[in-house]
Amino acid sequence: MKKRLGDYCKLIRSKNAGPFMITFDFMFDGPGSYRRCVEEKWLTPELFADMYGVRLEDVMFFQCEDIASIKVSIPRPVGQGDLGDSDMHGGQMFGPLAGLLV
Amino acid sequence: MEEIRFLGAGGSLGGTGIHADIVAQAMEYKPHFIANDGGSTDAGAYYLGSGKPAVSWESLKHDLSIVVLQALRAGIPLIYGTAATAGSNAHVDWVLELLGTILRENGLTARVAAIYADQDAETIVKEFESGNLVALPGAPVLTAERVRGFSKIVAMMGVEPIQEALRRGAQIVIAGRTSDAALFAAYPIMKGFNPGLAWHAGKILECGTLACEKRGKGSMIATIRGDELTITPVGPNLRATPQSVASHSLYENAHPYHHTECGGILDISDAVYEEAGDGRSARISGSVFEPRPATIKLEAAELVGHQSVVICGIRDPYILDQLDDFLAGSEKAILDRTFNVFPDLVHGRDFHLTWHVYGRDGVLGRMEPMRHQIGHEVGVVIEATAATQELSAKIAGIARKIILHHPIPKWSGGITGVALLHSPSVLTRGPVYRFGINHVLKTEDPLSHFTINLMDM
Repeated sequence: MKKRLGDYCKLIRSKNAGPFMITFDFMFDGPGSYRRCVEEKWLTPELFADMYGVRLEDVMFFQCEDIASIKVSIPRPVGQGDLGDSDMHGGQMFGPLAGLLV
Repeated sequence: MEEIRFLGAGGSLGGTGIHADIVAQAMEYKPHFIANDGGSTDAGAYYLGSGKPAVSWESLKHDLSIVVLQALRAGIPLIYGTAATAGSNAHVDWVLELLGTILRENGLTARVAAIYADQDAETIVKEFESGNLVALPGAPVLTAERVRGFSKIVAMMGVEPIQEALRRGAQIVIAGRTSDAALFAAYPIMKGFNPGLAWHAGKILECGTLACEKRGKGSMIATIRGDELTITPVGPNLRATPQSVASHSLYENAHPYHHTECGGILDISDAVYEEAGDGRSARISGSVFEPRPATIKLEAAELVGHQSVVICGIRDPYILDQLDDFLAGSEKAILDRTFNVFPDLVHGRDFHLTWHVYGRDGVLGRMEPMRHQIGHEVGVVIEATAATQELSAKIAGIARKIILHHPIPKWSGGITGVALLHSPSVLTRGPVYRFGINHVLKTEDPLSHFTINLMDM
């Protein structure tokens, strides 16, 4: 049965990395979950490009095996605080990903 | 000097707060200096643009008093940077006034260095035209005209201006915009300690106890001896573990292992994290600082306009059935009425209407994959932005009146289709700013662009 991605993580968060980038951290609950994520491609650069409407080549995607974490950074779809921005700290941008069924 | 110890009293001063008893406990480690930051870009460009702090006089006074009194009593330097949220000259001067009050009330005197980071627009235009500005990812497109229009430009200092202030005998450094980590790295590097570990320590200490297993109230002590850095939390039930410290390096940085600073790159790809053996400290080795030609990061606040806001809720199930049509119809009617009243205005040039629909896609906007699944009510925030506060309020007033009675096909007769939250329903937000620059400035001299003033207070 499918579970939510968040069920495999001890922490999922998003945050501004400066006013023009957003960075996502997926800290898995152990090496097992981390490996499944990598092997079954739960998270891919393509997913971020599609979901946040950014160019694939602008998605920075890191697999940090030593800390069982995936880190992804993308240009902010709207600059921090600019007209139309609705998340000043970028802190809730990860929401749909935490609920991703995997 | 074989070992250097330093204290980060807590996160940003004036924010969630530091505690006198815990800082006193941390002082038992006999730190060689105390450092703390006062802000970042996190709170938004408003603070940089307006010169106002996001913290109150009272809350910063509470926190700053604790570290000022401890540092002067112990005879060690206190380094405080990105003064009062945004670190412009206005923020530095505000903190100097506050510091003067603290010193006077406690019958103390101190040699104080103020380091100013404001940049003159014409100087930056010249650098831009000479090709010395390098765009970072996501950077806005610059023109000389746009740079001249910025409300405020600051440069982010690295370790060098702080070191210079300390060399000139400052006991207390009140710095404008500074790299958080530089506040901690400046003194150890000046004393010849391993710069990779000094910068890495800065990256950890600037976030208070966030690098601990469970965040809690407390302070952090860093100790560098030879090629080892030890991170020790001070506070109830705090533990820094190899895992928690390693994971912290992800926080707020676009790259997990490379952190670009003014004079080089901190590379922690080969850092090794171990238990220090006391059950609450973590030991780090292998962090490397690779020197690069100096670059100074610039930040600018750009006035977007003045804004007025209307907040309302919708509970009528028939409106919710066709919410997108209702909102699109309302917007069209608001614009028609605006053009009738102000025939010379152009939408998108002279004013902007921005919508946030909570319960549908208020947080993620068009990126929300579940925007078609709405619940039994939604909240609507309409922002009207224009060159003057008066004009934005008039347009928001039109929006209020129009949406309040906008018809839907289901009901015959007049309706009141939204629940307005307030009277007056138009909230005035004042000036609204965005960040206008995301570039680094190539320079030969990392001290250039900063002004150090020493004074006895």
